[in-house]
Amino acid sequence: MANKVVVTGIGLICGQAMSANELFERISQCQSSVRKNEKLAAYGVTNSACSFIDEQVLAALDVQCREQGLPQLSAPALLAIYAAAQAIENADIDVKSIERKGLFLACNKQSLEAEHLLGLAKHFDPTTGKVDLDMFMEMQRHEKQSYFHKRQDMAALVLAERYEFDDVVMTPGDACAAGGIAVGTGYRYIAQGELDVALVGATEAMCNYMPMLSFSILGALAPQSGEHPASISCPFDKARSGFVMGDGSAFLMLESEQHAQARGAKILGYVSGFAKQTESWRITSSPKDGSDYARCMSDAIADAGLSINDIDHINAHGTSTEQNDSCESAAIKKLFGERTVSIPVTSNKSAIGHSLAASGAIEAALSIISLQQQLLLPTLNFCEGDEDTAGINVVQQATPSKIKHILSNSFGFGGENSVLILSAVAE
Amino acid sequence: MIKTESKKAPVFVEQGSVYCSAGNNVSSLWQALANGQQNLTALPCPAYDAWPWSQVFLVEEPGASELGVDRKILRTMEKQAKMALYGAALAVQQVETLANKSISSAKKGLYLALPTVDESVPPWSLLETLHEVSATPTQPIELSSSEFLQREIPAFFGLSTLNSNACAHISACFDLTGAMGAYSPFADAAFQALIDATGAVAQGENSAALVGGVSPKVNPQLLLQYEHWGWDKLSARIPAEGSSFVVLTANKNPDAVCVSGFARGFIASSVEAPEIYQQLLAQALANANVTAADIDWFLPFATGGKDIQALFALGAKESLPILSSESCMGFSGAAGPLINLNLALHGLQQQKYLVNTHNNINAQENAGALRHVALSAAGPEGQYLVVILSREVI
Repeated sequence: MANKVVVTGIGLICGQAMSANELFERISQCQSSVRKNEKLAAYGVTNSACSFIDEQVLAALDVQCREQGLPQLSAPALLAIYAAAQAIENADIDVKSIERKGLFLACNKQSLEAEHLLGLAKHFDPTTGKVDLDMFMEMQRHEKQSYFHKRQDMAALVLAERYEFDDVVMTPGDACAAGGIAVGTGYRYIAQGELDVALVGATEAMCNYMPMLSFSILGALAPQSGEHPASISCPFDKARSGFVMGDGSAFLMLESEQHAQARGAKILGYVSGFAKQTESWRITSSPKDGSDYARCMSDAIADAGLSINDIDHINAHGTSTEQNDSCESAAIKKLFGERTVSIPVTSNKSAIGHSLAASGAIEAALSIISLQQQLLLPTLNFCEGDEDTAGINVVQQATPSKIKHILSNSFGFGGENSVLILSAVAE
Repeated sequence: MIKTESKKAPVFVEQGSVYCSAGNNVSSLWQALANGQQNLTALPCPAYDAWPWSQVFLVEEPGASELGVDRKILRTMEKQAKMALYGAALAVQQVETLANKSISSAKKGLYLALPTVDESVPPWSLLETLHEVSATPTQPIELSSSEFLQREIPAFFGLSTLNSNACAHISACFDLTGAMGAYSPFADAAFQALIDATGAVAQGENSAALVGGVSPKVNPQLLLQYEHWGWDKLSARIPAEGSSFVVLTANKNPDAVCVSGFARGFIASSVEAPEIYQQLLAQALANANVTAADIDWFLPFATGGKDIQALFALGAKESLPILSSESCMGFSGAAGPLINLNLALHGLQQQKYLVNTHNNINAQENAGALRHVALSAAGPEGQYLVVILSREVI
């Protein structure tokens, strides 16, 4: 029989919030973390509103890490180390002493920032068409411009060494589904009895030059002509026109129920189901009828041993792009049928932006707090749906509600989908 | 410290594809290794002064017709995604399981290991313009010119460098919609993918799984990694491009080779490395219900041979044949362990094996009774995995 998997700790940094409870409080009060990024605007990024983490915060985290003897790290790694430590502290667990433990940390590849691009350009010889790699390498030794900051496994390896994870260390890189996949994969290892404890989470810091430009050129970011930054992202609304980017990291400490009970840990909630699947469609969109999303949601519910009638709330992927929200709405209607109008749906992304890999882990953390507080979070900026999203019961203000099971969606570019089922502690 | 992997139902593995400079099938690679044929090509990018190799193992970038996709799709694919798709296409041609209509596409999964997909940007023309102004203390106007940037940055850059999109192309072409995973960035990722896929098939989450690994592409960014890791000081690390795939199934295949055991770990301290190599090898052997003396062939990858002594310490035969294929055919990152796996499957099928010779150019072919083959793969910062293949007695 599969082990029950419990959540015993949460750590988070996202936008202007330094913990999961702080972020939950902010969103419940309809406070958005989306702001104009003046530095990006100065660089000519027209869609410069995003939920970024201040450079001062990153600098302080950098100092802390250096004081602890860690090497110079990338922004995603700094965020991950902070959030992971918070989750471990929250769980009140001595991770090093645990024998059967795994680390599952999702992160996508990072891109060059504007300063890095200029640094590289300095060593480009237009007459020969070659980069002087010797000079470039020398520069990297002295300046904070290392190519290796692009590595997606940097945070995972630092955490593995720090907390002595000597078994499974995994870095999912499945775009926007990666965070959900990290949580779900850790859940599965514990459920199947292969691990007792898993530190699961994700980190991403994409509010910088090249990612913002590339997603802007792709047409995925919302145009921002004159709108207040906090009102640009509006999931499921008829005015939705794209997403805004976000920075962040979140971790959950997962344990088998038996392991948590044996050490007297406080159980915050359960991860009770998971599915991850690929589509066989297009790399820029999913089937309009929502069939692939619905299949993934259905399989996650089945994995939890539940029926659709047991789901009390949906934490949607809800990116605020025309495509995603239409497909996700179609999937919800296809799967839940007549129940659709009665299932409250929330997207957190209008408040915190879309942090790609990190989003699934952040939303899982927020969902666990929703279960604890029995409170539904609002979808900021939603006013009225369109033909596709009409009938979706989008939560518009913080609402107390009896919630036992939450379904949390994460759908990735290219058609990699993951769905988690998160459940409340029995009264 | 190291846990024991739980025993699962048998999962069978079928020989898939190899796409490398020596050819696009396992037989031609095997023959090239036996004959010492090394298809080296001039380094295609600028290098730093101390770079040791003027020639490397490259593959041709597959075109739209070879990949079976519309030419427009190529705009969304970097070379690594093309190598992945081409390797997958070769595997699908080779293995009937994936075309088997009686298995629902929702029960066919994809597990792909690939390093960071390196972007083609910044394009040289962008660097050329920025070079002129990069020495100025003020911000170059080009960096804040939307018109300039939109001209210089490829429209699909945001997608083409996502690992998930390399997977998406394969899923879309071959209708694989089951449970999946994408793993990065080093050689160990190949066996992470294989072990997870094995678990998914054993648990019934998938009925079949395509498992692949892709190399980095040879470009200046790869050279920087070589310098960083010190790989340019190792003789067996000549960069090689390519991809390789195998197919896992719960159904016993005609050759009846199964993934009988595996283990994975993270070696945080080099002081403890010898002990942990032994523990992990012992764990994989126990998982396969065999001893070190039962192993008939060992193919380590990217371990620098450090685990060979550990296997002997556990009681491996003195005559145990060993093949470090990267000595002969270059270092192909996450493709390497799966290339080795395909060589192992070929050997098990043909009852022959290859061993390194002193010249590190060719491998010597010998006939021999093979039943159990051990393979390993390592990442540069302590990642280490072991897989045991076993042939059923027919």
